[in-house]
Amino acid sequence: MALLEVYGLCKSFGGLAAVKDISIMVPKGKIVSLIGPNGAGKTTVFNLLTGFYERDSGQVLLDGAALDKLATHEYIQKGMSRTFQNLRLFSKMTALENVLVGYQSRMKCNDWNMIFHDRKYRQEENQAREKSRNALAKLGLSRYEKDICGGLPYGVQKRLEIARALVSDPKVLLLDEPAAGLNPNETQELSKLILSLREEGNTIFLIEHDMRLVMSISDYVYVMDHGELLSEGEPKQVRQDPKVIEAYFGKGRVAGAAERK
Amino acid sequence: MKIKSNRIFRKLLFCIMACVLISLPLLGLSNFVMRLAVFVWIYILLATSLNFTSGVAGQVSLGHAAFFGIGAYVSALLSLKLELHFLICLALAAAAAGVSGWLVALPAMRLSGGYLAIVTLGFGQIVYIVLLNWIDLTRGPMGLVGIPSPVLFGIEFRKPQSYYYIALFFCVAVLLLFKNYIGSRAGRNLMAIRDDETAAAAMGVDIYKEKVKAFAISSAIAGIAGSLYAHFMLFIDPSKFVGDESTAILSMVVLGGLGSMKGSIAAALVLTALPELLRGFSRYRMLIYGILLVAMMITKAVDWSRYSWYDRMQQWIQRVVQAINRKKGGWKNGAA
Ligand SMILES: Nc1ncnc2c1ncn2[C@@H]1O[C@H](COP(=O)(O)OP(=O)(O)O)[C@@H](O)[C@H]1O
Ligand SMILES: [Mg+2]
Repeated sequence: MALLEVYGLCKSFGGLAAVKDISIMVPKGKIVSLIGPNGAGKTTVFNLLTGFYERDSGQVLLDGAALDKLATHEYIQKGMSRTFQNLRLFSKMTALENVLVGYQSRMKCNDWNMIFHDRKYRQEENQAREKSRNALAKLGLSRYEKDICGGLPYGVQKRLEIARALVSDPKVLLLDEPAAGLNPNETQELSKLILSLREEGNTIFLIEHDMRLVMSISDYVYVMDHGELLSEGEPKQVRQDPKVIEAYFGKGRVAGAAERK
Repeated sequence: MKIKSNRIFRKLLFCIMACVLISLPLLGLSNFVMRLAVFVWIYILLATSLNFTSGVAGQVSLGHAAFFGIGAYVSALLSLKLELHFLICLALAAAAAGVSGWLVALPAMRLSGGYLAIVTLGFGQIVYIVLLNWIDLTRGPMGLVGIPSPVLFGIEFRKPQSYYYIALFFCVAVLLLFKNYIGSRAGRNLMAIRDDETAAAAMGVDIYKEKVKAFAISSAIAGIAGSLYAHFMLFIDPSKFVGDESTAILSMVVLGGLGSMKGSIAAALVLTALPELLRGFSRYRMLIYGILLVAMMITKAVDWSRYSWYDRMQQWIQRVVQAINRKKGGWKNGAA
Protein backbone atom coordinates (compact mmCIF):
# COMPACT_ATOMS: atom_id res chain seq x y z
CA MET A 1 0.00 0.00 0.00
CA ALA A 2 1.34 3.33 -1.05
CA LEU A 3 1.59 6.30 1.29
CA LEU A 4 -0.44 8.50 -1.03
CA GLU A 5 -3.08 6.82 -3.15
CA VAL A 6 -5.14 8.67 -5.72
CA TYR A 7 -7.97 6.94 -7.54
CA GLY A 8 -9.98 8.28 -10.47
CA LEU A 9 -9.38 11.95 -9.83
CA CYS A 10 -11.51 14.22 -12.06
CA LYS A 11 -11.89 17.95 -12.34
CA SER A 12 -13.36 20.19 -15.00
CA PHE A 13 -13.58 23.94 -15.26
CA GLY A 14 -16.78 24.78 -17.08
CA GLY A 15 -16.51 22.73 -20.24
CA LEU A 16 -12.79 22.07 -19.94
CA ALA A 17 -11.87 18.73 -18.39
CA ALA A 18 -8.53 19.65 -16.83
CA VAL A 19 -8.02 16.35 -15.02
CA LYS A 20 -9.61 13.15 -16.29
CA ASP A 21 -9.63 9.95 -14.26
CA ILE A 22 -6.11 10.17 -12.88
CA SER A 23 -4.84 7.45 -10.54
CA ILE A 24 -1.46 7.82 -8.89
CA MET A 25 0.47 5.94 -6.20
CA VAL A 26 3.26 7.54 -4.21
CA PRO A 27 5.06 4.93 -2.06
CA LYS A 28 6.78 5.93 1.14
CA GLY A 29 10.36 7.13 0.80
CA LYS A 30 10.27 7.41 -2.99
CA ILE A 31 10.47 10.19 -5.52
CA VAL A 32 7.49 10.05 -7.85
CA SER A 33 7.27 12.52 -10.70
CA LEU A 34 4.44 13.89 -12.76
CA ILE A 35 5.45 15.27 -16.13
CA GLY A 36 3.69 16.54 -19.20
CA PRO A 37 3.50 19.50 -21.56
CA ASN A 38 2.29 22.91 -20.42
CA GLY A 39 -1.43 22.95 -19.65
CA ALA A 40 -1.54 19.18 -19.23
CA GLY A 41 -3.22 19.57 -15.82
CA LYS A 42 -0.31 18.82 -13.50
CA THR A 43 -0.72 21.84 -11.25
CA THR A 44 -4.44 21.17 -11.13
CA VAL A 45 -3.67 17.72 -9.70
CA PHE A 46 -1.61 19.37 -6.95
CA ASN A 47 -4.37 21.87 -6.28
CA LEU A 48 -6.82 19.01 -5.92
CA LEU A 49 -4.50 17.10 -3.60
CA THR A 50 -3.95 20.10 -1.31
CA GLY A 51 -7.51 21.34 -1.15
CA PHE A 52 -7.27 24.42 -3.37
CA TYR A 53 -9.84 22.97 -5.75
CA GLU A 54 -12.67 20.62 -4.89
CA ARG A 55 -12.53 17.44 -6.91
CA ASP A 56 -15.52 16.45 -9.03
CA SER A 57 -14.93 12.79 -8.26
CA GLY A 58 -12.20 10.46 -7.16
CA GLN A 59 -10.64 9.35 -3.94
CA VAL A 60 -7.47 10.42 -2.16
CA LEU A 61 -5.97 8.35 0.65
CA LEU A 62 -3.03 9.47 2.72
CA ASP A 63 -1.57 6.75 4.91
CA GLY A 64 -4.80 4.81 4.41
CA ALA A 65 -7.05 7.65 5.61
CA ALA A 66 -9.33 9.47 3.18
CA LEU A 67 -8.66 13.17 2.67
CA ASP A 68 -12.25 14.31 2.45
CA LYS A 69 -14.22 17.37 3.40
CA LEU A 70 -11.22 19.27 4.69
CA ALA A 71 -10.69 23.02 4.54
CA THR A 72 -7.60 24.09 2.58
CA HIS A 73 -5.67 24.95 5.73
CA GLU A 74 -6.22 21.49 7.20
CA TYR A 75 -4.25 19.63 4.56
CA ILE A 76 -0.84 20.51 5.98
CA GLN A 77 -1.90 19.15 9.35
CA LYS A 78 -2.67 15.84 7.68
CA GLY A 79 0.84 15.84 6.23
CA MET A 80 0.49 17.27 2.73
CA SER A 81 2.84 20.19 2.19
CA ARG A 82 3.55 21.91 -1.11
CA THR A 83 5.44 24.53 -3.02
CA PHE A 84 4.03 26.62 -5.85
CA GLN A 85 4.96 26.80 -9.50
CA ASN A 86 5.13 30.59 -9.37
CA LEU A 87 6.86 31.81 -6.24
CA ARG A 88 4.46 32.40 -3.42
CA LEU A 89 6.61 33.53 -0.54
CA PHE A 90 5.57 36.01 2.12
CA SER A 91 7.57 38.69 0.44
CA LYS A 92 7.69 41.30 3.21
CA MET A 93 8.72 38.81 5.86
CA THR A 94 12.22 37.57 6.59
CA ALA A 95 13.43 34.18 5.36
CA LEU A 96 13.26 32.81 8.91
CA GLU A 97 9.74 34.15 9.42
CA ASN A 98 8.65 32.48 6.20
CA VAL A 99 9.88 29.14 7.43
CA LEU A 100 8.33 29.73 10.86
CA VAL A 101 4.96 30.17 9.15
CA GLY A 102 5.64 26.88 7.41
CA TYR A 103 6.02 25.31 10.86
CA GLN A 104 3.04 27.02 12.47
CA SER A 105 0.64 24.12 11.92
CA ARG A 106 2.75 22.13 14.39
CA MET A 107 2.52 24.79 17.13
CA LYS A 108 -0.10 24.41 19.81
CA CYS A 109 0.10 27.50 22.03
CA ASN A 110 -3.14 29.42 22.39
CA ASP A 111 -3.64 33.19 22.29
CA TRP A 112 -3.26 33.45 26.03
CA ASN A 113 0.21 31.85 25.91
CA MET A 114 1.18 34.15 23.07
CA ILE A 115 -0.04 37.36 24.73
CA PHE A 116 1.85 36.71 27.95
CA HIS A 117 4.88 34.97 26.43
CA ASP A 118 4.71 32.40 29.19
CA ARG A 119 7.02 29.43 29.62
CA LYS A 120 5.02 27.12 27.39
CA TYR A 121 5.10 29.72 24.63
CA ARG A 122 8.83 30.38 24.96
CA GLN A 123 9.66 26.69 24.84
CA GLU A 124 7.57 26.15 21.77
CA GLU A 125 8.87 29.28 20.04
CA ASN A 126 12.50 28.31 20.70
CA GLN A 127 11.87 24.85 19.37
CA ALA A 128 10.16 26.29 16.28
CA ARG A 129 13.08 28.60 15.64
CA GLU A 130 15.55 25.79 15.99
CA LYS A 131 13.61 23.62 13.57
CA SER A 132 13.27 26.49 11.13
CA ARG A 133 16.98 27.29 11.29
CA ASN A 134 17.74 23.64 10.63
CA ALA A 135 15.48 23.68 7.59
CA LEU A 136 17.20 26.83 6.33
CA ALA A 137 20.60 25.23 6.90
CA LYS A 138 19.56 22.09 5.05
CA LEU A 139 18.86 24.21 1.99
CA GLY A 140 21.98 26.30 2.43
CA LEU A 141 20.05 29.43 3.31
CA SER A 142 21.38 30.20 6.77
CA ARG A 143 23.01 33.41 5.72
CA TYR A 144 19.72 34.84 4.44
CA GLU A 145 17.90 34.19 7.70
CA LYS A 146 17.28 37.84 8.56
CA ASP A 147 16.72 39.12 5.02
CA ILE A 148 13.34 40.23 3.75
CA CYS A 149 12.75 37.50 1.22
CA GLY A 150 11.14 39.64 -1.49
CA GLY A 151 14.56 41.06 -2.30
CA LEU A 152 16.47 37.77 -2.50
CA PRO A 153 17.70 36.23 -5.78
CA TYR A 154 15.26 33.98 -7.61
CA GLY A 155 17.14 30.74 -6.97
CA VAL A 156 17.33 31.50 -3.27
CA GLN A 157 13.60 32.19 -3.13
CA LYS A 158 12.90 28.90 -4.88
CA ARG A 159 14.88 27.02 -2.25
CA LEU A 160 13.28 29.02 0.53
CA GLU A 161 9.89 27.77 -0.61
CA ILE A 162 11.13 24.21 -0.28
CA ALA A 163 12.44 24.95 3.21
CA ARG A 164 9.07 26.39 4.16
CA ALA A 165 7.24 23.30 2.91
CA LEU A 166 9.74 20.92 4.47
CA VAL A 167 9.90 22.31 7.99
CA SER A 168 6.55 20.82 9.05
CA ASP A 169 7.89 17.27 8.43
CA PRO A 170 5.15 16.45 5.90
CA LYS A 171 4.29 12.89 5.03
CA VAL A 172 4.37 13.85 1.36
CA LEU A 173 6.27 16.83 0.03
CA LEU A 174 4.72 18.15 -3.19
CA LEU A 175 7.08 20.21 -5.33
CA ASP A 176 5.62 22.07 -8.31
CA GLU A 177 8.36 22.72 -10.88
CA PRO A 178 11.16 23.46 -8.40
CA ALA A 179 13.71 23.76 -11.23
CA ALA A 180 11.73 26.22 -13.34
CA GLY A 181 13.85 29.30 -13.95
CA LEU A 182 17.01 27.86 -12.41
CA ASN A 183 20.31 27.76 -14.31
CA PRO A 184 22.01 24.39 -15.02
CA ASN A 185 24.26 24.64 -11.95
CA GLU A 186 21.37 25.40 -9.67
CA THR A 187 19.36 22.58 -11.22
CA GLN A 188 22.24 20.21 -10.56
CA GLU A 189 22.33 21.27 -6.92
CA LEU A 190 18.59 20.92 -6.70
CA SER A 191 18.68 17.33 -7.91
CA LYS A 192 21.32 16.51 -5.28
CA LEU A 193 19.16 18.17 -2.69
CA ILE A 194 16.02 16.26 -3.63
CA LEU A 195 17.98 13.01 -3.54
CA SER A 196 19.34 13.85 -0.11
CA LEU A 197 15.81 14.55 1.08
CA ARG A 198 14.85 11.08 -0.04
CA GLU A 199 17.85 9.64 1.79
CA GLU A 200 16.47 11.22 4.97
CA GLY A 201 13.25 9.31 4.45
CA ASN A 202 11.08 12.00 2.89
CA THR A 203 8.47 11.05 0.32
CA ILE A 204 8.45 13.39 -2.64
CA PHE A 205 5.85 13.98 -5.32
CA LEU A 206 7.42 16.12 -7.99
CA ILE A 207 6.07 18.05 -10.96
CA GLU A 208 8.86 18.98 -13.28
CA HIS A 209 9.49 20.19 -16.77
CA ASP A 210 13.19 19.51 -16.85
CA MET A 211 13.27 15.99 -18.35
CA ARG A 212 16.88 15.36 -17.48
CA LEU A 213 16.22 16.15 -13.82
CA VAL A 214 13.12 13.96 -13.70
CA MET A 215 14.74 11.01 -15.43
CA SER A 216 17.84 11.12 -13.25
CA ILE A 217 16.21 11.25 -9.83
CA SER A 218 12.72 9.73 -10.07
CA ASP A 219 11.82 6.26 -8.87
CA TYR A 220 8.62 6.29 -10.85
CA VAL A 221 7.17 8.64 -13.45
CA TYR A 222 3.63 9.52 -14.53
CA VAL A 223 3.08 11.34 -17.81
CA MET A 224 0.02 13.51 -18.37
CA ASP A 225 -1.35 15.22 -21.44
CA HIS A 226 -4.68 16.98 -21.95
CA GLY A 227 -5.74 15.98 -18.46
CA GLU A 228 -5.21 12.27 -19.03
CA LEU A 229 -2.55 9.81 -17.96
CA LEU A 230 -0.55 8.99 -21.04
CA SER A 231 1.99 6.64 -19.60
CA GLU A 232 3.61 5.55 -16.40
CA GLY A 233 6.55 3.50 -15.30
CA GLU A 234 10.19 3.67 -14.32
CA PRO A 235 12.10 6.49 -15.99
CA LYS A 236 13.74 4.33 -18.65
CA GLN A 237 10.46 2.71 -19.69
CA VAL A 238 8.69 6.05 -19.92
CA ARG A 239 11.47 7.59 -21.93
CA GLN A 240 11.03 4.98 -24.64
CA ASP A 241 7.25 5.13 -24.76
CA PRO A 242 6.32 6.42 -28.24
CA LYS A 243 3.20 8.12 -26.86
CA VAL A 244 5.36 10.20 -24.53
CA ILE A 245 7.78 11.14 -27.26
CA GLU A 246 4.87 12.15 -29.42
CA ALA A 247 3.34 14.31 -26.74
CA TYR A 248 6.61 16.02 -26.07
CA PHE A 249 8.04 16.40 -29.54
CA GLY A 250 5.04 16.24 -31.87
CA LYS A 251 4.00 13.55 -34.30
CA GLY A 252 6.53 14.12 -37.02
CA ARG A 253 9.44 13.70 -34.67
CA VAL A 254 8.57 10.29 -33.33
CA ALA A 255 10.48 8.45 -35.98
CA GLY A 256 13.46 10.75 -35.61
CA ALA A 257 13.55 10.45 -31.85
CA ALA A 258 13.37 6.68 -32.07
CA GLU A 259 16.24 6.65 -34.57
CA ARG A 260 18.46 8.73 -32.29
CA LYS A 261 18.31 5.96 -29.73
CA MET B 1 31.48 42.74 22.24
CA LYS B 2 29.58 44.97 19.89
CA ILE B 3 26.34 43.13 20.52
CA LYS B 4 26.83 43.48 24.25
CA SER B 5 27.43 47.21 24.17
CA ASN B 6 24.43 47.56 21.87
CA ARG B 7 22.27 45.80 24.40
CA ILE B 8 23.53 47.95 27.24
CA PHE B 9 22.87 51.03 25.16
CA ARG B 10 19.32 49.87 24.54
CA LYS B 11 18.73 49.20 28.21
CA LEU B 12 20.06 52.64 29.06
CA LEU B 13 17.84 54.26 26.47
CA PHE B 14 14.86 52.33 27.81
CA CYS B 15 15.58 53.49 31.39
CA ILE B 16 15.91 57.10 30.33
CA MET B 17 12.68 56.93 28.37
CA ALA B 18 10.86 55.30 31.25
CA CYS B 19 12.13 57.99 33.65
CA VAL B 20 11.04 60.79 31.34
CA LEU B 21 7.61 59.28 30.76
CA ILE B 22 7.01 58.71 34.46
CA SER B 23 8.25 62.07 35.62
CA LEU B 24 6.59 64.12 32.87
CA PRO B 25 3.68 65.37 35.04
CA LEU B 26 6.15 66.42 37.76
CA LEU B 27 8.06 68.79 35.52
CA GLY B 28 5.59 71.61 36.01
CA LEU B 29 4.39 71.61 32.41
CA SER B 30 1.25 73.56 31.61
CA ASN B 31 -2.21 71.96 31.66
CA PHE B 32 -2.30 72.38 27.90
CA VAL B 33 0.79 70.29 27.37
CA MET B 34 -0.33 67.62 29.80
CA ARG B 35 -3.73 67.37 28.12
CA LEU B 36 -1.90 66.94 24.87
CA ALA B 37 0.22 64.20 26.43
CA VAL B 38 -2.92 62.30 27.42
CA PHE B 39 -4.28 62.66 23.88
CA VAL B 40 -1.01 61.36 22.51
CA TRP B 41 -1.42 58.19 24.59
CA ILE B 42 -4.98 57.74 23.41
CA TYR B 43 -4.00 58.17 19.77
CA ILE B 44 -1.09 55.80 20.20
CA LEU B 45 -3.61 53.16 21.25
CA LEU B 46 -5.83 53.99 18.29
CA ALA B 47 -2.98 53.96 15.77
CA THR B 48 -1.33 50.77 17.02
CA SER B 49 -4.66 48.95 17.13
CA LEU B 50 -5.56 50.00 13.59
CA ASN B 51 -2.04 49.08 12.53
CA PHE B 52 -2.78 45.57 13.73
CA THR B 53 -5.56 44.96 11.19
CA SER B 54 -4.55 47.34 8.45
CA GLY B 55 -0.78 47.14 8.68
CA VAL B 56 0.07 43.73 10.09
CA ALA B 57 -2.86 41.82 8.58
CA GLY B 58 -3.30 44.07 5.55
CA GLN B 59 -7.07 44.51 5.95
CA VAL B 60 -7.61 48.23 5.48
CA SER B 61 -10.39 49.60 7.65
CA LEU B 62 -11.87 53.07 7.21
CA GLY B 63 -14.13 52.90 10.24
CA HIS B 64 -11.84 52.66 13.22
CA ALA B 65 -13.34 55.73 14.91
CA ALA B 66 -16.62 53.83 15.22
CA PHE B 67 -15.09 51.44 17.75
CA PHE B 68 -13.42 54.36 19.52
CA GLY B 69 -16.92 55.89 19.75
CA ILE B 70 -18.59 52.68 20.91
CA GLY B 71 -15.99 52.37 23.67
CA ALA B 72 -16.43 55.99 24.74
CA TYR B 73 -20.25 55.88 24.81
CA VAL B 74 -20.51 52.48 26.48
CA SER B 75 -18.07 53.52 29.17
CA ALA B 76 -19.72 56.90 29.71
CA LEU B 77 -23.26 55.51 29.79
CA LEU B 78 -22.35 52.70 32.17
CA SER B 79 -20.79 55.11 34.61
CA LEU B 80 -23.58 57.69 34.25
CA LYS B 81 -26.60 55.39 34.34
CA LEU B 82 -25.39 52.44 36.38
CA GLU B 83 -22.63 54.24 38.27
CA LEU B 84 -20.23 51.38 37.67
CA HIS B 85 -16.60 51.70 38.66
CA PHE B 86 -14.21 53.09 36.05
CA LEU B 87 -12.29 49.84 35.70
CA ILE B 88 -15.47 47.87 35.06
CA CYS B 89 -16.63 50.49 32.55
CA LEU B 90 -13.29 50.26 30.77
CA ALA B 91 -13.44 46.49 30.60
CA LEU B 92 -17.02 46.50 29.34
CA ALA B 93 -16.19 49.22 26.80
CA ALA B 94 -13.42 47.01 25.45
CA ALA B 95 -15.79 44.06 25.35
CA ALA B 96 -18.56 46.01 23.62
CA ALA B 97 -16.21 47.41 20.98
CA GLY B 98 -14.61 44.00 20.54
CA VAL B 99 -17.93 42.25 20.05
CA SER B 100 -19.09 44.93 17.58
CA GLY B 101 -15.83 44.51 15.71
CA TRP B 102 -16.35 40.77 15.66
CA LEU B 103 -19.90 41.16 14.32
CA VAL B 104 -18.74 43.54 11.59
CA ALA B 105 -15.87 41.28 10.70
CA LEU B 106 -18.00 38.15 10.31
CA PRO B 107 -19.42 39.30 6.97
CA ALA B 108 -16.76 41.91 6.14
CA MET B 109 -13.79 39.56 6.28
CA ARG B 110 -15.31 37.51 3.49
CA LEU B 111 -14.61 40.56 1.37
CA SER B 112 -11.30 41.97 0.33
CA GLY B 113 -9.59 45.21 -0.55
CA GLY B 114 -11.94 47.92 -1.74
CA TYR B 115 -15.10 46.15 -0.64
CA LEU B 116 -13.82 45.77 2.88
CA ALA B 117 -12.86 49.45 2.97
CA ILE B 118 -16.37 50.45 1.91
CA VAL B 119 -18.09 48.18 4.43
CA THR B 120 -16.02 49.58 7.28
CA LEU B 121 -16.60 53.11 6.03
CA GLY B 122 -20.35 52.40 6.00
CA PHE B 123 -20.23 50.93 9.48
CA GLY B 124 -18.49 54.08 10.71
CA GLN B 125 -21.30 56.16 9.26
CA ILE B 126 -23.96 53.96 10.84
CA VAL B 127 -22.43 54.26 14.28
CA TYR B 128 -22.15 58.02 13.91
CA ILE B 129 -25.79 58.34 12.81
CA VAL B 130 -26.99 56.13 15.66
CA LEU B 131 -25.04 58.17 18.22
CA LEU B 132 -26.51 61.33 16.72
CA ASN B 133 -30.13 60.18 16.54
CA TRP B 134 -30.73 57.81 19.43
CA ILE B 135 -31.50 60.81 21.55
CA ASP B 136 -33.11 58.94 24.46
CA LEU B 137 -29.87 57.15 25.14
CA THR B 138 -27.09 59.35 23.79
CA ARG B 139 -28.72 62.80 23.98
CA GLY B 140 -27.71 63.13 20.34
CA PRO B 141 -25.74 66.24 19.38
CA MET B 142 -25.96 67.59 22.92
CA GLY B 143 -23.61 64.86 23.99
CA LEU B 144 -23.13 63.25 27.37
CA VAL B 145 -22.07 65.56 30.18
CA GLY B 146 -20.84 64.99 33.68
CA ILE B 147 -19.02 61.74 33.03
CA PRO B 148 -17.28 60.94 36.32
CA SER B 149 -13.51 60.95 36.61
CA PRO B 150 -11.92 57.68 37.64
CA VAL B 151 -11.43 57.14 41.33
CA LEU B 152 -8.79 54.59 42.26
CA PHE B 153 -7.35 53.93 45.73
CA GLY B 154 -9.45 56.82 46.97
CA ILE B 155 -7.77 59.27 44.60
CA GLU B 156 -9.72 61.11 41.95
CA PHE B 157 -7.85 61.32 38.65
CA ARG B 158 -9.28 64.53 37.25
CA LYS B 159 -6.44 66.89 36.41
CA PRO B 160 -4.39 66.07 33.32
CA GLN B 161 -1.31 65.72 35.53
CA SER B 162 -2.87 62.80 37.38
CA TYR B 163 -4.97 61.35 34.55
CA TYR B 164 -1.75 61.09 32.59
CA TYR B 165 -0.76 58.15 34.79
CA ILE B 166 -3.96 56.27 34.02
CA ALA B 167 -3.42 56.76 30.29
CA LEU B 168 0.25 55.83 30.65
CA PHE B 169 -0.52 52.67 32.60
CA PHE B 170 -3.18 51.33 30.27
CA CYS B 171 -1.30 52.24 27.11
CA VAL B 172 1.98 50.73 28.18
CA ALA B 173 0.29 47.59 29.47
CA VAL B 174 -1.73 47.14 26.30
CA LEU B 175 1.25 47.91 24.06
CA LEU B 176 3.52 45.42 25.81
CA LEU B 177 1.01 42.59 25.56
CA PHE B 178 0.18 43.60 22.01
CA LYS B 179 3.83 43.52 21.06
CA ASN B 180 4.13 40.02 22.50
CA TYR B 181 1.15 38.90 20.48
CA ILE B 182 2.33 40.42 17.20
CA GLY B 183 5.80 38.97 17.69
CA SER B 184 4.43 35.46 18.09
CA ARG B 185 2.89 32.92 15.74
CA ALA B 186 -0.37 34.89 15.59
CA GLY B 187 1.35 38.00 14.27
CA ARG B 188 3.36 36.03 11.73
CA ASN B 189 0.22 34.33 10.49
CA LEU B 190 -1.43 37.70 9.95
CA MET B 191 1.58 39.01 8.05
CA ALA B 192 1.50 35.85 5.96
CA ILE B 193 -2.15 36.51 5.15
CA ARG B 194 -1.25 40.05 4.14
CA ASP B 195 1.56 38.92 1.87
CA ASP B 196 -0.09 35.92 0.20
CA GLU B 197 -3.39 34.41 1.28
CA THR B 198 -3.02 31.34 -0.93
CA ALA B 199 0.35 30.42 0.50
CA ALA B 200 -0.84 31.20 4.02
CA ALA B 201 -3.71 28.75 3.58
CA ALA B 202 -1.28 26.13 2.27
CA MET B 203 0.77 26.60 5.44
CA GLY B 204 -2.29 25.84 7.51
CA VAL B 205 -3.44 29.34 8.43
CA ASP B 206 -7.21 29.58 8.81
CA ILE B 207 -7.40 32.88 6.96
CA TYR B 208 -10.96 33.87 7.73
CA LYS B 209 -10.78 33.02 11.40
CA GLU B 210 -7.51 34.85 11.93
CA LYS B 211 -8.76 37.95 10.14
CA VAL B 212 -11.95 38.07 12.18
CA LYS B 213 -10.02 37.61 15.40
CA ALA B 214 -7.55 40.35 14.49
CA PHE B 215 -10.37 42.75 13.67
CA ALA B 216 -12.11 42.04 16.98
CA ILE B 217 -8.92 42.52 19.00
CA SER B 218 -8.15 45.74 17.19
CA SER B 219 -11.70 47.01 17.86
CA ALA B 220 -11.50 46.10 21.53
CA ILE B 221 -8.34 48.15 21.94
CA ALA B 222 -10.00 51.10 20.20
CA GLY B 223 -12.76 50.62 22.77
CA ILE B 224 -10.21 50.97 25.58
CA ALA B 225 -8.99 54.19 23.96
CA GLY B 226 -12.62 55.38 23.83
CA SER B 227 -13.12 54.72 27.51
CA LEU B 228 -9.90 56.54 28.39
CA TYR B 229 -11.07 59.46 26.25
CA ALA B 230 -14.54 59.68 27.81
CA HIS B 231 -13.37 59.68 31.41
CA PHE B 232 -10.74 62.27 30.64
CA MET B 233 -12.89 64.74 28.66
CA LEU B 234 -15.89 64.22 30.99
CA PHE B 235 -17.98 65.26 27.99
CA ILE B 236 -18.44 63.45 24.68
CA ASP B 237 -20.55 64.11 21.62
CA PRO B 238 -20.83 62.26 18.29
CA SER B 239 -18.73 64.78 16.36
CA LYS B 240 -15.53 63.25 17.76
CA PHE B 241 -16.34 59.89 16.16
CA VAL B 242 -16.97 60.85 12.54
CA GLY B 243 -15.31 59.34 9.49
CA ASP B 244 -12.67 62.09 9.49
CA GLU B 245 -11.32 60.69 12.72
CA SER B 246 -10.91 57.28 11.09
CA THR B 247 -8.97 58.93 8.29
CA ALA B 248 -6.77 60.70 10.83
CA ILE B 249 -5.95 57.41 12.56
CA LEU B 250 -5.31 55.68 9.24
CA SER B 251 -2.90 58.41 8.15
CA MET B 252 -0.94 57.84 11.36
CA VAL B 253 -0.65 54.16 10.54
CA VAL B 254 0.38 54.85 6.97
CA LEU B 255 2.90 57.52 7.92
CA GLY B 256 4.43 55.19 10.50
CA GLY B 257 4.80 52.50 7.86
CA LEU B 258 2.06 49.88 7.53
CA GLY B 259 2.82 47.02 9.87
CA SER B 260 5.32 48.83 12.07
CA MET B 261 4.26 49.26 15.67
CA LYS B 262 7.10 51.63 16.48
CA GLY B 263 6.22 53.63 13.39
CA SER B 264 2.58 53.92 14.44
CA ILE B 265 3.62 55.12 17.89
CA ALA B 266 5.97 57.74 16.48
CA ALA B 267 3.44 58.92 13.90
CA ALA B 268 0.66 59.14 16.49
CA LEU B 269 2.95 61.27 18.63
CA VAL B 270 3.94 63.57 15.79
CA LEU B 271 0.53 63.92 14.16
CA THR B 272 -1.27 64.51 17.46
CA ALA B 273 1.23 66.90 18.97
CA LEU B 274 2.40 68.90 15.98
CA PRO B 275 -0.89 70.45 14.83
CA GLU B 276 -1.64 71.47 18.41
CA LEU B 277 1.78 72.88 19.13
CA LEU B 278 1.98 74.89 15.92
CA ARG B 279 -0.76 77.30 16.80
CA GLY B 280 -3.19 78.09 14.04
CA PHE B 281 -2.32 74.83 12.35
CA SER B 282 -4.87 72.73 14.17
CA ARG B 283 -7.63 73.83 11.84
CA TYR B 284 -5.60 72.44 8.95
CA ARG B 285 -5.17 69.12 10.77
CA MET B 286 -7.39 67.11 8.45
CA LEU B 287 -5.82 68.73 5.43
CA ILE B 288 -2.36 67.76 6.61
CA TYR B 289 -3.51 64.19 7.24
CA GLY B 290 -5.09 63.98 3.81
CA ILE B 291 -2.03 65.26 2.01
CA LEU B 292 0.23 62.91 3.95
CA LEU B 293 -1.98 59.94 3.18
CA VAL B 294 -2.00 60.65 -0.53
CA ALA B 295 1.73 61.38 -0.64
CA MET B 296 2.62 58.19 1.22
CA MET B 297 0.41 56.05 -0.98
CA ILE B 298 1.78 57.56 -4.17
CA THR B 299 5.41 57.15 -3.20
CA LYS B 300 4.63 53.62 -2.01
CA ALA B 301 6.66 54.26 1.09
CA VAL B 302 4.39 51.75 2.68
CA ASP B 303 6.75 49.02 3.71
CA TRP B 304 9.72 51.19 4.56
CA SER B 305 9.59 50.02 8.11
CA ARG B 306 10.68 46.47 7.43
CA TYR B 307 13.75 47.34 5.42
CA SER B 308 16.70 48.90 7.20
CA TRP B 309 18.17 52.03 5.68
CA TYR B 310 21.19 49.99 4.77
CA ASP B 311 19.15 47.42 2.84
CA ARG B 312 17.26 50.06 0.98
CA MET B 313 20.44 51.86 -0.04
CA GLN B 314 21.83 48.56 -1.23
CA GLN B 315 18.73 47.75 -3.24
CA TRP B 316 18.80 51.15 -4.78
CA ILE B 317 22.45 50.84 -5.76
CA GLN B 318 21.77 47.37 -7.17
CA ARG B 319 19.00 48.77 -9.30
CA VAL B 320 21.27 51.50 -10.66
CA VAL B 321 24.02 48.99 -11.41
CA GLN B 322 21.55 46.73 -13.19
CA ALA B 323 20.30 49.65 -15.24
CA ILE B 324 23.86 50.53 -16.25
CA ASN B 325 24.61 46.92 -17.16
CA ARG B 326 21.53 46.76 -19.31
CA LYS B 327 22.69 49.88 -21.08
CA LYS B 328 26.11 48.31 -21.62
CA GLY B 329 24.53 45.16 -23.04
CA GLY B 330 22.55 47.32 -25.38
CA TRP B 331 25.69 49.06 -26.64
CA LYS B 332 27.48 45.78 -27.19
CA ASN B 333 24.56 44.34 -29.10
CA GLY B 334 24.50 47.47 -31.15
CA ALA B 335 28.19 47.02 -32.05
CA ALA B 336 27.83 43.34 -32.97
N1 LIG C 1 -8.94 27.83 -11.87
C1 LIG C 1 -9.03 27.48 -13.17
N2 LIG C 1 -10.07 27.90 -13.91
C2 LIG C 1 -10.16 27.56 -15.21
N3 LIG C 1 -9.26 26.81 -15.85
C3 LIG C 1 -8.18 26.37 -15.16
C4 LIG C 1 -8.02 26.69 -13.79
N4 LIG C 1 -6.87 26.12 -13.36
C5 LIG C 1 -6.34 25.49 -14.42
N5 LIG C 1 -7.13 25.64 -15.50
C6 LIG C 1 -6.91 25.05 -16.83
O1 LIG C 1 -6.61 23.70 -16.65
C7 LIG C 1 -5.61 23.30 -17.59
C8 LIG C 1 -4.45 22.66 -16.87
O2 LIG C 1 -3.70 23.64 -16.19
P1 LIG C 1 -2.49 23.33 -15.23
O3 LIG C 1 -2.92 22.29 -14.26
O4 LIG C 1 -2.00 24.59 -14.66
O5 LIG C 1 -1.42 22.72 -16.22
P2 LIG C 1 0.11 22.40 -16.00
O6 LIG C 1 0.46 22.64 -14.58
O7 LIG C 1 0.26 20.97 -16.39
O8 LIG C 1 0.88 23.28 -16.93
C9 LIG C 1 -5.22 24.54 -18.37
O9 LIG C 1 -5.90 24.51 -19.59
C10 LIG C 1 -5.70 25.66 -17.50
O10 LIG C 1 -6.06 26.76 -18.29
MG1 LIG D 1 1.80 23.86 -13.76
